[in-house]
Parts: sequence; structure tokens; C-alpha cells
Amino acid sequence: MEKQVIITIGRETGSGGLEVARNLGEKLGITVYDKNIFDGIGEKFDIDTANLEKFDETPRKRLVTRRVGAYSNSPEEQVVELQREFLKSRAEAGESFIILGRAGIKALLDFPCLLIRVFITADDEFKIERVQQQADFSRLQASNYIYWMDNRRRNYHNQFCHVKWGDPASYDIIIKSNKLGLEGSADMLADYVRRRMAQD
Amino acid sequence: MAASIIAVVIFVMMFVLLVLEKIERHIVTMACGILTVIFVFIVCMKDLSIAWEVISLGSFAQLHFWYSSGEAAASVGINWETICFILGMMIMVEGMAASGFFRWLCMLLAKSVNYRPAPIFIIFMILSAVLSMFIDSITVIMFLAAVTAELSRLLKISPVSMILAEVFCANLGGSATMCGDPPNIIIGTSLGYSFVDFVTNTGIMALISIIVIIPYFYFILGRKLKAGQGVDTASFPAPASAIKNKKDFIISCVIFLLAVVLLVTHAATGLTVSTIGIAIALLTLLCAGKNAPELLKKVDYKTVFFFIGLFMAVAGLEYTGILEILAGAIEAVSGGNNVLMIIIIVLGSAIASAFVDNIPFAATMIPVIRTLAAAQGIALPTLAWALSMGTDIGGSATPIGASANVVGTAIAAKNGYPIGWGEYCKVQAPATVIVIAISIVFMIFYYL
Repeated sequence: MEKQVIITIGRETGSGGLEVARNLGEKLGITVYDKNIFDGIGEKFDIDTANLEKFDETPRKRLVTRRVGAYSNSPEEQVVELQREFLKSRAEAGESFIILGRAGIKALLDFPCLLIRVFITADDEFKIERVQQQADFSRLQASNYIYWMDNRRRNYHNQFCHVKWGDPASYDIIIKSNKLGLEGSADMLADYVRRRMAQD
Repeated sequence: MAASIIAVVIFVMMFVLLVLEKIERHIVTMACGILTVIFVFIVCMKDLSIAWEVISLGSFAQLHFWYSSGEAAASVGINWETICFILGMMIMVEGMAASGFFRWLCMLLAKSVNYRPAPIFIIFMILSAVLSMFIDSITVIMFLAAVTAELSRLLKISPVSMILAEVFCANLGGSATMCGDPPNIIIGTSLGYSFVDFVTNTGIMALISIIVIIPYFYFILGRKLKAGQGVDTASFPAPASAIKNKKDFIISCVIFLLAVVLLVTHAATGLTVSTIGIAIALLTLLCAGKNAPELLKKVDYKTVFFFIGLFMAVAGLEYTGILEILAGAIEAVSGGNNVLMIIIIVLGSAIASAFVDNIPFAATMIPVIRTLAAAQGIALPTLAWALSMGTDIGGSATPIGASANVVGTAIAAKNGYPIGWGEYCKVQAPATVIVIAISIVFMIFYYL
């Protein structure tokens, strides 16, 4: 891309955030960092990340971990720190990318580039159906799973970010992915990004 | 009565906030300390002289702050002696770190055993214990665990076993001397004990314990360590590469040795630990020349404020008689039996320190043991050593018990090896039980 653009995408469970992010990445020709961020972390810091992946996007357990100065023995917090360091290094290298979740906003907020903050939501029916398709869940199980996952994401995000998860004031654009469909949502977002780039 | 209730409420609030970590710990203790001075001493007790006594700025003008004539000077309120010593050691350690001293020492020892994992495992345990006798165990682990992680990566092994053993030995080494662990500094300065007093009491217990603990860790963890395939030790960084500046390196070594000599001989020379701390800090800054402001910037002032606030909050409990009630409860449970009292102090301190920060716990318990000694006729030093071993060693049992554990496990996690409670406690909890048992048996037979 001519100009550096970094897009952070927050998403509700079942809203199709990952698919929208991948579609958007393809349309804009930029990398999407999701779980694959651990490959980059392993390479950059020369560490084996296999034991760290289970702490991805997980809130810190306050009562069983402690912080001493700059050192925290919460693996969740260590994972966030590594992810932030990695994202900052990619941003400093001039790379344009999309970061899905992972409290990406905090890491990149002060970076001097076009930062677009997106949140993807959807109607409950749409989310439940998608979760049911992906996992062999009953309707009730899917609904409970969405509630549990979103709660966990909210806790995680609010612990590690200064802005609230899902709060309109924290984002540039919030879309309901079921209104235009996943492909259509990615199209709309790509258009939005291009307009912002032209304006910037 | 109102003063007692407010003092307890503020203290409990401080402990809860420290555990929750929502607010930085120095802000918590300073805020609670200031609230204690205002509401307990000034508003409820209406006694400005107590508030002044707690702030204790007058102690700088007293001879025993700088020079001890041999008579123990009990400290109340803010223990400036502890604070000056900690500050001085922090400045010295910053100077040593900047010169590359710690990394050089670790790499040199690793090279001396041809980078074989099992001997490194043993040698790093001893190094951790010995360094922690003179330098705060957090600093020791900060450097030792970082080098361990680096060496483990080169040797293609997991650093977890070594870091766990180093952390335990750092806490154990710290218990041996007055300056090794913050609870000991507080106990020593508050009750007027010297470096030699600690070495000849907790030091003996630590020595016996380490003789047992090294084989324990070796058989549980160390002997399984073997370097991975295709490791070429010739390509490992040379120890000399750790030295950033030869002149600074020599100066920092000399200052460190001087600090050790001054500490070991302070009972004979009469110099207090605060004098030693200030002298070492000034010497380090003088030698650092134009880099002195840089060293001063790196000092962890938050810890200094943490201690100041903590002492003020604890004084609230002390002056309102709450700690005497606690002492009375211990006395009632022990029924005047000295053996039982030692067991209660050691076990109580160990269990509490395994879950909450051992520094506020030790600061709170000092007036308690002082009251117990006066009421029960048991020697105060015996209770002091019981408190010291309980708080220093109990903290080893869990990943959150002592600051060195947090730093060690944080470094392991940062290097891709998170250590859960299960993995940690499986190794450290039995080791803690062994050392606590050794300490109790030693104290019963040696002191009673």
C-alpha cells in the first residue's frame, strides 16, 4: 500500500470477525494477524511459543499472579506484552496490517500512521446460527457459549486496554456483519479504508 | 476505640488493594499511610507529637542512626534506616548492572563447567544463594534468570528447572543475612540486630538447609538436564563480552566488595546499615561521574515510597494497641509454651507469606513479637529469627509468595515457558516444608 494503514478489529463471537478480517486483508493486500501472530513472535524473539498460545486473548487471573515493577508472572500479561512488542516492531518497519482482537488498539494508538479501529457485531440469531454451524451445539449451548466468550473477551480487553470493549466511543466504525453479509461487510470496510486513506 | 477501628480499616484496605494490584503498590501504601497519620493520629488521637514520631524525620539527627554504640535502638514509625540502606544498595546494584558484572559472573561460571547443564544447575543454585546474601534477591534473580534463559536457549533445554531452583536458593540465601531479604532488613533495623547476629543464627539455619536442598533439587530436576543435539559451545558468547566498560567493571567490583566488608564488620565498626547504604551510594555516584544522573534515574523510587507508606500504616496498628491484641491471641493459643510459640510464629509467617507480600507481613509482626517477648519472657532474638525464617522461606512456596518468585517466573514466561501454580508448587512447596522443618527443629534445640 502507498500509505501505511493499521486496522484493529474487535469482534463479537459468531459475528464472523475473522472472515471479514481475512476478506478485508485480501482486498487491501495486507497481512492479517490472528493466531498466526505467534509465528512472528517465535521468530522475532527466538522463543518457542507452543506453551504460550493457550494464554492468547485470556484475561489475567489477578489473585493467583503478581507484578513486581516491570515483571508480571501472569502468562496472559506476558503474551500481551510479546504481542504488543511484535506489533510495534511491524508498525515501525512500515508494514500495513490488520490485527484481529488481542487488545491491538493499546499497542498502536500512539503510532504515527492511519489507524482505523473497527468493531464487528451481528444480530443474535445470526451469531447463534454461525456458532451452531461451527461447533455441534444446541441453540442453548451456542447462546451460552457466545455469552461466555464475549464476557471473557470483554474482561480481557478491558484489563489490557484503556478503552472499553464494544463501546462506540472506542471505535471509528461499528458494523453488523449480517446486514451486508461477510463479503459485503469486507467490501464496505475496504471502501471505508480507501476513503480514509484518500482523505488523510 | 475509633482510632483503632480506623487503623484496622485502613490497614485491611491497604492489604486488599495490594493483593488486587489495581493501583500501583507505592500509591496504595503511601495513600494508606497518609490516611493513617491524618485520621488515626491527628483526627482521632488528636496528638501531633505521635504523628511526628511516626514520620520520624528526627531520626536523621540522632547519633544511633549513623553510628551504633552497641545498644539496640528500637525503631517506630518510618524506619529510615531500612529505607536509606535499600536506596543505597539500589544505586550500587544499578552501577554493577551497568558495568555488566552479573552477566559476566554467570557466563564465567557456566564456562568453567564447560556449559554442561547439570553442573550449571548446581553452580547457579549456589551463586543465587551467595549473591542473595548481599544483594536483594529480586536483583539476583533478574540477572541470573535472564542469563539462564539465554544459556538454556543455546543449550536447547527448558530453563524452568534451573529458574525454579535459583528462585528457591535466592530466597534461602536471602534469609541468611540481614541485607539479603527486605523482611530481614526491617527486622534487623527495627530491633537493632547486626549482620553477624543474622549470620550466626538464620545463617546457620540457611546453611544446613542449603546442604539438604541442593541434593533435593538436583535429584528432582537437575540430573535430568542434558544439552540438546548439535550444541556448539564454542559459539557461545565469551564471558568478557558481558563487560561493557572495563574501568566501570573494576570499580563496581571494588564497591561491591567494600559493601560486603562494611556489612560483615558493621557490628565491630559501629557503622549502621543506613550509614553503609548512604556511603556506598555516594561512592557509586562519585565513581559514575557524569553518568550519575543516569544511575539515579534508574533507581526504583516506587519501592522506597512503598516502604515509607507501609511503615506509616503499620504504625497505626502499633500505636492503637491492635498489634498487642494480636500478640495476646498468639499468647493465648500457645498457652505460654515457648515451643508452641516458635512453631506458631514460623508456620504462621510461612503460610501468610506464601500468599501475601512478606514485607508488610514482617513489618506488622515486629511489634507483635516485641510484645510477646516482653509478656512471655522468651528471648526476643529467638522470635525474630523465627519470624525471619518464616517470612523469607514461606514466600518460596507459591509463585506469588516472594518478589524473586514473581521475577523468575515472569522471565521464564517471557521466554516461552510459563510456569503454572501446579508445576511451581510441586517442586517448591516440599522444599519449603523441608526448610521450615529444619528451622523449627534447629530453633527448638538451639534456643530453648
